[in-house]
Amino acid sequence: MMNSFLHVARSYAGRYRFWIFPALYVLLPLMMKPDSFAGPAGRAAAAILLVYSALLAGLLCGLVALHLRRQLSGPAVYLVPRFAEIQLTFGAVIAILVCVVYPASIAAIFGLSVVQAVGVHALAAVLMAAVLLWPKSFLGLLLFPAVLVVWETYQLPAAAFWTQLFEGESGPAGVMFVAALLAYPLAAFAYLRTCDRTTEYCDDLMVDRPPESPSRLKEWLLRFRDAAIEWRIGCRASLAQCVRRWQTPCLVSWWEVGALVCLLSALIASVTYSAGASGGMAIATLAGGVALFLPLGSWRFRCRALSYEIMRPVSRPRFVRQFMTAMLGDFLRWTIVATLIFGSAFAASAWFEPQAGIGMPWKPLSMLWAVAALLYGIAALTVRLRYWLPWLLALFVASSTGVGMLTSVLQNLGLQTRLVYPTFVALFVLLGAVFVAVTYRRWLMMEIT
Amino acid sequence: MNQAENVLEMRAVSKLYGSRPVLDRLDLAISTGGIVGLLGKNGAGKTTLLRCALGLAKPQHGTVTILGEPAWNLSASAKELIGYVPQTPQLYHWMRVQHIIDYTGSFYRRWNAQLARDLVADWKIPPDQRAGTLSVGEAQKLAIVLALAHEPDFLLLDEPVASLDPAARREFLKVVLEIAAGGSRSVLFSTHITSDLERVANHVAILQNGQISFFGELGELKDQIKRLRLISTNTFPERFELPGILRQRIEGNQALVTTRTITPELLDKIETSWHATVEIQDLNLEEIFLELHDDE
Repeated sequence: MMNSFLHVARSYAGRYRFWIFPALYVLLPLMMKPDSFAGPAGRAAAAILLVYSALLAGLLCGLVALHLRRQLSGPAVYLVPRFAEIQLTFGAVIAILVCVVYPASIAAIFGLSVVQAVGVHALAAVLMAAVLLWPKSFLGLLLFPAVLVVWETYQLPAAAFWTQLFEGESGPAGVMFVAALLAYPLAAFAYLRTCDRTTEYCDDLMVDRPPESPSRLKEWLLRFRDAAIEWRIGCRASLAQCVRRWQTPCLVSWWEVGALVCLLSALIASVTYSAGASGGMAIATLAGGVALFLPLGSWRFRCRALSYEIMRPVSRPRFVRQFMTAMLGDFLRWTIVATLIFGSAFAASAWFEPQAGIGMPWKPLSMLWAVAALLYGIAALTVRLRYWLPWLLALFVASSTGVGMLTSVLQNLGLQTRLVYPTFVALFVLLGAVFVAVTYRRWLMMEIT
Repeated sequence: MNQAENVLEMRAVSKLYGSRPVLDRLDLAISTGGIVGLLGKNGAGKTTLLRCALGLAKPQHGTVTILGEPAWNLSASAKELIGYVPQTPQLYHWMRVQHIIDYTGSFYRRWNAQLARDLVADWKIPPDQRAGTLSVGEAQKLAIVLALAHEPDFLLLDEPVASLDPAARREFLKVVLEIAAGGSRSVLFSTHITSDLERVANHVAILQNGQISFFGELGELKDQIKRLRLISTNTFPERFELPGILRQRIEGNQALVTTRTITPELLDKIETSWHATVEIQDLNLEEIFLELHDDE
């Protein structure tokens, strides 16, 4: 039995994601000082810590659920005695450690409400159950910060549950805990009983296979993509058209992007109207940040088909240039989306709260574009790597930290205060450009697998 | 063989993965109009050979030229003349079949849309279906359509028929034969299905220990490698020490010997040395393949 658990543990240990995200999860609260939770300001800090911790716990639990699906979709589940039982037990142990034991310990150490901590982290266990049943529910992770926004900005009856939970009342926490306790075994049971399991199951969330018979709504939405594909296929002559043609298999169309921007702008406007600028800005920050990461999925998949792509009648240097430019175009599109989202948040703030005197948001927008430039460079560099996501995140964190440290060193050496921010932005862009140049050289010499 | 006539030339090509040599000073030349079947065991390096030939992998040593150009730096015009089907086709599963065909076709000047339509219809690939919902066989057929529709001068296929049913396999082989019928086009394909290879290939290349252990016409291979059935009045020795022996099974006064150099002198020697009667048996390609790889 113990031996079986060791085998299961090895299946986790062999994947970088199960080293990086647990490390982040464990280290996050440990970076806080115990006295930072004292007083009224401390209450907000504790809430923010809890939500970020729950976010990481949700990420971790979601990845564990995907891993479980992968394990349970192979023939071993039929052939190896007690395989599913051991896998699911191991998953449950992880869920208990992540959602109960660790947050309760941290809450006890920092003098926070243990009930509150466990209650908030129960969301991660519920998410784990949902992902086990339906992988795309992983996107529900984005709801975690939204919970914080709702809690901070609304006092509606529907939000009372969350308000009470964050205030440490045991009723909502108990409900969350029981939901988490029930959700996981029910989901595991339902998955094993009802899912059509095949050995080809892919746990890549970004790009999953279309179902045999997509729903009418999905098919209707996909028609926009078809139209975009047809438009791009027709492009032939100029560099811009060549680039557009390389973008043909990209996942989304302008129609979908436009609809998303309109929806988010309306949401931001309504939140700003009812709850003030901070609520709208919180949604814009969240959605804008997510938008910058959205092109990664399709380009990751494109890179798997490079042995096809590189055999198109284009010389290797030209192929690399056009392919990378097409990728840049996709990143540009999503950066424009993020800009529009931020723009609508600022416009809504200026409209509904003119007394706040919000000026042109040059600083955050320049920062947004600088982050996008850096992210594009890192994405180009890492997208072909086997463990691309951990590498991407690690390089992003390392680059941001490095730029921050370099800027402060320059400041100590006499850099004028008004130049600190432009220097910071310029270093981000420069680093992104360096990554692109390195990638270009590497791709000229790359072997295609 | 003149270099100008060769669509593919590999000279002293070595390719290592880590410290493991997959290709070891390999030489291969394929002339225009040849349909060459590449045979080798699993892991022998067939895919690596094809990838080096296409410039997808860079050998550590040796030179590879395809259609007269270095494989690593192929020009656009050379690529226009090459068709390739990888072992596992990676299709964009969110795109419709017709869109994938149109997307691929948009890169080629001499894309034969009618041929693509005909093949799609003949092979019953639903053009409006998304690639992700195709069966493995249908996806393989689509990959073949994409490789054929620009009517390439040199077609390289990495186990193209592994996922096809017998009817589709036969249809595919017919298309390959049609392509090569004019004598100006060439095909190199790796396969495990030796019966297919026998049906269409006019040359066979056998990849063994990182090198081409045999390259020549199929008939030549069959003429070379024979099985001898020996029956003697005396007991045979434990081993025959004769040139070119690939495999031998000896039991008392009976023996089965597979050899690659059968000559009248050899037969005389066997008959006189061991007072044996010799029966020469022809082998089919699968048997030859097994005999060649028996000692590995």
